[in-house]
Amino acid sequence: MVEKISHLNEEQLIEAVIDASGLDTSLRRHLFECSACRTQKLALEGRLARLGQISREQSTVEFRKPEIFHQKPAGIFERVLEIRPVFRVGVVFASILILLLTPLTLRRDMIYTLDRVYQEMRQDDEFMDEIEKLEDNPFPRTYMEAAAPGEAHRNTQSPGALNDGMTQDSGPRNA
Amino acid sequence: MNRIPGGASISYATGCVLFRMNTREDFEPRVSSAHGDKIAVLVEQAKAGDAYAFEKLMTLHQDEIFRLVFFRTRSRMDSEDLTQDVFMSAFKYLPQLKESDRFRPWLYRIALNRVHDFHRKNKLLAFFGITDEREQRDMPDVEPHRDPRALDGVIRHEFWVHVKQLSKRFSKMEKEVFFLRFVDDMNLREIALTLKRSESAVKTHLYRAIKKFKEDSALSDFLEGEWHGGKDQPS
Repeated sequence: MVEKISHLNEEQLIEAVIDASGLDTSLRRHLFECSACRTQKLALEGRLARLGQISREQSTVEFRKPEIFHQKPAGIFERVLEIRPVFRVGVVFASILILLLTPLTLRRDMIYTLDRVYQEMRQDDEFMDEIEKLEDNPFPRTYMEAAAPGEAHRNTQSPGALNDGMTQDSGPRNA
Repeated sequence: MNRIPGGASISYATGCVLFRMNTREDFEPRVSSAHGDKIAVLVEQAKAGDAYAFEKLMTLHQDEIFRLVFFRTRSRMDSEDLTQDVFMSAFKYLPQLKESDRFRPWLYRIALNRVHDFHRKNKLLAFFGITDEREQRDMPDVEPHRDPRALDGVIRHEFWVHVKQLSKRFSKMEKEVFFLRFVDDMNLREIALTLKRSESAVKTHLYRAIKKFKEDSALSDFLEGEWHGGKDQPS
């Protein structure tokens, strides 16, 4: 019995070009024996090889060879730039923070601290004491002594009490 | 720990001895087992702080990394800078590479990431109105090496137009897989490692990409013409 000849179809041909080991044994045997299929496969392989060859020819140019170990030692500025990215971000962030805080840092008296509040309260208390003293006797002590040395003590009374005395002396009101 | 690489070349070709007889030289894995061993040893030495070993690794891979970048950016100056950047990153992060036999895919992944960053940056600049004419570039900004078989300017321009049109038809992953396989000459395992995908996923994307490539009759005609033209030329 004569075996039926079945040539490789397009898919099988491409499969053969990609990886011939993926084909069935019978197809591989056929490909080996059939010159028509082999020619088709070789033609496709040839076109692909030619494409690669021309591409490589077109990409073969004189170029500067890469150098790693013969580079110039980096200057100070380059060394600064070569720091790690995370560290770089940190440095930038810290710089911004310092820039923002600098005016406040230089003018410490502007900061409303607890000490400052206590000091203000103490000053307020002293001021109130002074006002109370002035309410008792607004005249300076030297004036009072010059006016009546013996009554200096008596006159150290409130302005209200002085007014009361004067009112008592004014007869017409009591009459 | 010195791991013995070799899966790259062996696993790809272990499928069938029969087929190895038919496969063209171009489709054989690029990295041989001995070469892989040598690289793995160099990687181990470089990880231990051997600068000379890293220099050797750089010398071995700088051309292909530059080519990868240049093919995707088409600017020599940008490619030089990006290649430098790729090797600086590789040197910095090499101690983190656990498996020394995966150095090449690892390096390619760094390169692809750098290229993606580059394109992203250009898109951002374009978005803010800082237009970059390189985005519109159809062909490289420099002349390739001139040899008797080199294409002339018109054909080169035509080639890049075709490649650009083909790229537009690909999805992002199809594009990556296709160019890594046929331009950067990586095998399936290396592509899978580079893109952090399974080999079956890579095969699926590659299948779709080749199908689209096959349907692109203009590019096929161009390549057929060039192929036969190239073959006819005396060497």
